[in-house]
Amino acid sequence: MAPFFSLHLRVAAFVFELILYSESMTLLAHLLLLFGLVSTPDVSVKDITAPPQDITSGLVALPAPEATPTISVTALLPHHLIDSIAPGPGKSAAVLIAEDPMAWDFSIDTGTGPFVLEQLISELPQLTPGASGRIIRFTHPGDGLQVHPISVTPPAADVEGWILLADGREDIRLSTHFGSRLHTVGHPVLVHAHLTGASLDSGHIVVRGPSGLPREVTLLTAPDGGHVAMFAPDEPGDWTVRSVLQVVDSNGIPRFRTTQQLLKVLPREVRFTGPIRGSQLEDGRLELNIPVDLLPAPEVGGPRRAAVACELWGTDRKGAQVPVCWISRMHELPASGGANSIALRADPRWLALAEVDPATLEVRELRVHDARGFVLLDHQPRPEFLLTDSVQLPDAPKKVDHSMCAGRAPEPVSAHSASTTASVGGHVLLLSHGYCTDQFPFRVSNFSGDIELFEDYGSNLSNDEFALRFESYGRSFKSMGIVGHSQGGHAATHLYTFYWSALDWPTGGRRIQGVGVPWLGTALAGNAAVLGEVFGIGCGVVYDLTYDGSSAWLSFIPSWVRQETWYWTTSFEDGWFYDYCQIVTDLLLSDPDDGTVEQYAGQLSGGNNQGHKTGWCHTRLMRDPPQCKDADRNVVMDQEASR
Amino acid sequence: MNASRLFAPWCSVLLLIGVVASAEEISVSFNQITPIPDNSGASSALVELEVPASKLVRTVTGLRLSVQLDHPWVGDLSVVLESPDGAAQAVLFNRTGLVAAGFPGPFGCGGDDVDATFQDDATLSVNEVCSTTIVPVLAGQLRPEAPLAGLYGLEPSGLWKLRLSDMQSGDSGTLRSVTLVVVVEPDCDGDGVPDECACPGDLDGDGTVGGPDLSIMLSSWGSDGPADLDGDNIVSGSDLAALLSTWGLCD
Repeated sequence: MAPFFSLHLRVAAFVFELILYSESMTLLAHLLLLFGLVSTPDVSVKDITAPPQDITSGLVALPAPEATPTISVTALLPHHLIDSIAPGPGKSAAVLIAEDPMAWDFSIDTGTGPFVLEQLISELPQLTPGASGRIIRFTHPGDGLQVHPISVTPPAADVEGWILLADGREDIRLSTHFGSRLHTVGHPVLVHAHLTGASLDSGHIVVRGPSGLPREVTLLTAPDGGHVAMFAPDEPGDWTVRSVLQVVDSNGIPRFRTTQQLLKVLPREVRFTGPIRGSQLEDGRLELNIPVDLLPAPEVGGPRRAAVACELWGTDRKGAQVPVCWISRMHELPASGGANSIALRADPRWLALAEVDPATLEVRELRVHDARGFVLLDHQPRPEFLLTDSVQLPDAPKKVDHSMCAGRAPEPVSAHSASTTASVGGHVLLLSHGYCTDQFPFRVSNFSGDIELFEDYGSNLSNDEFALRFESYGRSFKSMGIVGHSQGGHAATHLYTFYWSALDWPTGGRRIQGVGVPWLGTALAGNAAVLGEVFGIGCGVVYDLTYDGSSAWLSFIPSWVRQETWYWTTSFEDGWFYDYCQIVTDLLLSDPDDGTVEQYAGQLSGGNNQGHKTGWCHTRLMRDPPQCKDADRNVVMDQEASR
Repeated sequence: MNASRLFAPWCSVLLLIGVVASAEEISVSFNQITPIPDNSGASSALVELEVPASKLVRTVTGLRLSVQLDHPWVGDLSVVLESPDGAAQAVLFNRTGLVAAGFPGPFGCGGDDVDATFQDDATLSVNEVCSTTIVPVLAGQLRPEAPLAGLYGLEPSGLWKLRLSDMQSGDSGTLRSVTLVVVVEPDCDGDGVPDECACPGDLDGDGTVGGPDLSIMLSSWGSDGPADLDGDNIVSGSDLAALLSTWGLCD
């Protein structure tokens, strides 16, 4: 519990400082803050290595942005821009999203076309807590040719309302992605939009930075037929990017398609400078010293961490260029700016296994990402590498040893450096909720033996912050396995990858199990950010859960970690015409989904897929029961868990 | 002189046997399966290893201790070797890997099992070998937490004690075997420093081996006593040979 205390103390100290500043009591507040920082326990960081197969398979490669697009068959627009719907054969609905949508005049003139069977009201906890959705749903497929007027009148002129429109023409798709993964202040951002199934009438993007002023930029048509807009973010923080396309289908009927994306913009805190120098340490490991130029850390905001990675290649006996291994490490950056260096270490046994001449070593795909969101800060495909000494290689090992993957344990520790009266102990299974929840998701009675509940309700944490809370929690126990719901799966995987913890110690069974984990992200993150700007956002946005953020983060998870991860996906029970877990989010996600996570985005390449089960949704207040209440699966997870 | 002559024909033969002992290894083992109860404190298991007594005055000049035990969390354990007189002890390992934070963490090294020989000249320290995957985690030759040399210079005879303590809840273990190898050397003057015992036949302590010493020996012929120079509990021809081999002035 001490780490929690420490963290809370730091937060409390900061808040305290703000409160007391005007009362000239900053000294006390500074003391509190200082104490909080000093009492933060050290975390032991792993020297992570992935085998060369992870390089060739692309598992640890940063995907190109176009590989993780945001795809939409709907439109989300301010209410005054919507005046009709021409429902097609797919899911057709209009959703008024407003603080009090029942106070609005909201109707669709269905005429003789597909009739409206039901109107529903739905809260939108996954998107914004400040608004509800009033849904008018077409329960019969349309032909896409009948245009029905929509009447939307707010109760007062200044009341905001947005319409999420699903017109049932799922063949008309908008796919958008950013032009690069380098999202730093002043660095131009290209937004690419690709439309299929219709032709563009007009299009633009609306970008909005942390200071809140929206900017509209026209989409231009590129030579390849796609469309592109550019802007340069001028301040750090969370930006939203809405791509709005007015299109015309083959029947000449105008339609809208929009995407909503979250963009995290950072100062370019780290830049690679100069050549990398490699040398062999006394213990035989190869150390790469990477010179960097750092921006000074912000005055507050806690320690900043950055994940650094690169590939090592060499020439084998046949003269072929072969991958040796991929190496990575989480670094805590010093607060002071200026010239510095970051070290990565490689076990020489990888070089021996690859049978490469050390003198031919090359560094490739050097990159550094911010730990909170895995935003790319700098990237060099082929940095200059100088080996300062000759490298003595050991004999090639007969098999890959775990220490070759996770690095060696930190320096020898004294047996007498700590009290021998640790308080709790034991081997436990830690059950964890996911992002921003207010109730514990699992049915605890389905689990037996030593279980612990990780309860940190209403929090908005990056994967790194979440993982470090697990690490702190784990200090009370000898060992732990983790069953994580949703982002809890990300956090467990992150912890096992980057840090030594109680999660390294369980024996037998499954180390990490996840249910409803958005391994590849979810579209809701971007939509929640956009709606949150209007109606308020519950816990804040988490960039790690966007498609871009998740894919960047996932590119740091090597195969040996994925092999230790078991996961399940679920979705609604499919019925006639269309069904859903959450009627509004269903319109924003690709079927099948669990109301938050699409089945395809719940796949972890290299992990242990335990299957997909229908009839279960992501959380409570959805149409089917919440997936964490599935006793059958819970019992299996309990039995199979390592502790 | 008569005695000398009398026994002179034997002398050359018996000299080949020799009685002035050099370094000798005494090995004693314990092979009973013994539980190490969970969190049972300072003496979870106690093993006594008896090094037999000897008439020769000896001193310990080397120690090795091999331990085999099963335990799923060696960081729970403290293992201490104690000398027969209880006055000295050496810590083999004490909750290895124990740190307040980080790795291995506040519960010590979580590795499984021990199959190791603890000796001072080992390259690796017991505190350098924690692993999440290698079983047994303490294996091969390891340098103990505290040097075994702290027990050198003691009289080896008696009950050596190995105390195993499980200091943390959650895991219990089983001791399988212990082998203590004590290296001894003669220490005729009993000062804890090995010496050559140049005058084992100087039974009256006058600095020479002569007639009075022979008389002492003959008076106890066939029985036990200080004239039993080779420590076989009987004064016999071998003791006489030993006496004659050092006839004359002691060095």
